[in-house]
Amino acid sequence: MPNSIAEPPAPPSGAAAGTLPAPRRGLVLGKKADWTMHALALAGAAAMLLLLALLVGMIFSQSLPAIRRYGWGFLVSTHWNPVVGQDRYGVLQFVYGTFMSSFLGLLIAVPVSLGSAIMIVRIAPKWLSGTVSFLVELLAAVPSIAYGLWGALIMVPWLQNHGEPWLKAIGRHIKLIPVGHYRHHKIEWFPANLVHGGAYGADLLAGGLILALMITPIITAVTRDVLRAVPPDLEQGAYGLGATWWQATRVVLGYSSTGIYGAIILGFARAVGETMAIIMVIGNSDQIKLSLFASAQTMAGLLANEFTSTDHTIYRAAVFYVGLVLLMSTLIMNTLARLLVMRVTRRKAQASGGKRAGRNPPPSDGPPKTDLGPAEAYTA
Amino acid sequence: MSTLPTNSSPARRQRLYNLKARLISWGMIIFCTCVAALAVFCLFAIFGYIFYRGAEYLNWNFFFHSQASRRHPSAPSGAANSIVGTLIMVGLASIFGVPVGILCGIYLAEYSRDAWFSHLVRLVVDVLAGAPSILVGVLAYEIFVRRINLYHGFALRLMRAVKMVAPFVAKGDPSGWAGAMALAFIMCPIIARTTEEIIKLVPAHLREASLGLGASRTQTLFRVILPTARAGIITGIMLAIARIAGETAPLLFTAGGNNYLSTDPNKPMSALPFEVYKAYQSPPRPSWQHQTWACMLVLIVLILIFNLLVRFVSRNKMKVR
Repeated sequence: MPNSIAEPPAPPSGAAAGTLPAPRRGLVLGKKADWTMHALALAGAAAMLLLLALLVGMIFSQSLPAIRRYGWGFLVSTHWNPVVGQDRYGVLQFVYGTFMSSFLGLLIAVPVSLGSAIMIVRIAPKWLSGTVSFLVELLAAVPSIAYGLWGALIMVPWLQNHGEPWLKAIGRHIKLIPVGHYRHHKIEWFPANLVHGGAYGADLLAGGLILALMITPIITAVTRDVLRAVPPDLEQGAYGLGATWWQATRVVLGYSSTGIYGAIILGFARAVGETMAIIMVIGNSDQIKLSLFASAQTMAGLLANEFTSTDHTIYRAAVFYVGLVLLMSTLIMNTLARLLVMRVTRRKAQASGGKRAGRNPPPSDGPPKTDLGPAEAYTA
Repeated sequence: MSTLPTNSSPARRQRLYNLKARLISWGMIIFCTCVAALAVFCLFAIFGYIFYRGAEYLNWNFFFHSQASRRHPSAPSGAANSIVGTLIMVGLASIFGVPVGILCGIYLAEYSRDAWFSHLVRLVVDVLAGAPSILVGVLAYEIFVRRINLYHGFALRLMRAVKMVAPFVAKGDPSGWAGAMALAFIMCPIIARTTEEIIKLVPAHLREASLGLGASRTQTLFRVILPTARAGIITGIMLAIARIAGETAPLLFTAGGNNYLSTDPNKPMSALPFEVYKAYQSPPRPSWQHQTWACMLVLIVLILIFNLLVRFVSRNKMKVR
């Protein structure tokens, strides 16, 4: 084991320590224990690497037959025909369902969660901000199946009977942009064609709403932490120049924009990987129809619905291929988000010496945070 | 002529601009307050409705009878099978997931000497924490239920190791073990992440003092760092438990569900969220719906209790003794 710490002085012998109180009894932990502990910790870290390698390797190797047969064309095909002998598979409609519902969710969740985070950090008095923070964190802990159940048994019937007819009555008269003539040489108009079709409740709109409910607490919590890490000088400087509250807030938002983008991508990745809530409300039909009232299917939902019913090899491989696409998209988004958040919090930590960095209270009298981990910090 | 106030008068433009800025500012304050109120209202709408519907159908039979214990429709039925299943599977998952997660966290915080390797591990932990739980369920299904021959028998050897613990797992059957392992896979990265962050918050002077007194690194770890960070690590563990207790997707293929009360993890098992989904999927009979709401209520109360405990534990989190 590479141990670069200077050898500590030998502990005082028993005779010299005769006047001291008896040492605490316990394990005698020496050099060998050091080595064992290091090896154990390394094994724990290696287990994580192994887990990811297993996940990626298993999904990739199981989807190999479909990758060999369909190749990149799988990503742009919209066929999903799992009948033996007529097999044709493509993932595009599931990608559409996944990203459309997640995008809708973001469209609703981002203003709400940014507003809530600003309210928690910059408007509310201390007792209120503590309470609202706590409630938002509770909302983040609610299991997704609870949202799904509530959505399927309460929200979907409401949408079917009241929400969507109302939306349709208003929306079909709003015609802003003509969108060509792809059917019967008829011109369709942009916001009006989004509320086209029968209002059955279980559709993209319901999926977007449920996802918005689910990711709002996450985006709020991360944005709150990012906003709290902004040094107060910025806001005070803005006020000193005669800015109004909103102008000062815009300065703060601009300063922490990277972290906020990270929070949004984190929420988006969560929405893309969500399974249970969304298969209960989105209708589960593989089609691409540009309407809020069209039912759809997501990649995770497809896995949950069809994984156990895969009865022949290529069908099974195609389902795994969908899983591979899902894994890759969340992987890319998560990495991107972590890099953004990491960059911004590191900058904050350097700027303010770790003051109010994040939700965890900083060490009371520790040294300012640096890029070095503690291990390097005390061996350097 | 010269006193005629026009729209282009600088003073007037300045006044208009100030008025506009102040109006926008007040508008944004009102907007932020309103959306925060909306978010809190949604919380109360969902929680309140589940409490209202669930409390209606909750009685003692629910806790003490399993689903299949009824002989005819009017006999008492309950969810004892899923409550017991949730407790057993979450417990088993914790036995496997907590040590691995904590060890990985300790590695990241204490032993990460190689920059590139620790960065790699950190990235992998983040990626695993963000991976869709349904895919983790698929992985556990492949390893522990279908037992594919991955990497030239590696998984088979892994299975033999597990078989020492669970000797009677029938091949190809869902089991409580498989569900527990799926939950453990989800739990590990969460705990690793929080453990690392908490250990990094331990003041450096404690560490230095311990090393300066001649303690070895392991002594420092066990006698100084871990006791100081204990409350924070427990918080992380409880948050992870609250998270996996509500997971449904990884249990869909692995746990299998069981209408009878079973405490044997080698057999298929039921869990509360699984039961909710199953009852939701089944034909809409009133008794099933009642069951669904009651299960949901018990699950949410369980998770709420855990979160409140976390609050209680982490109140004096980093108290340096």
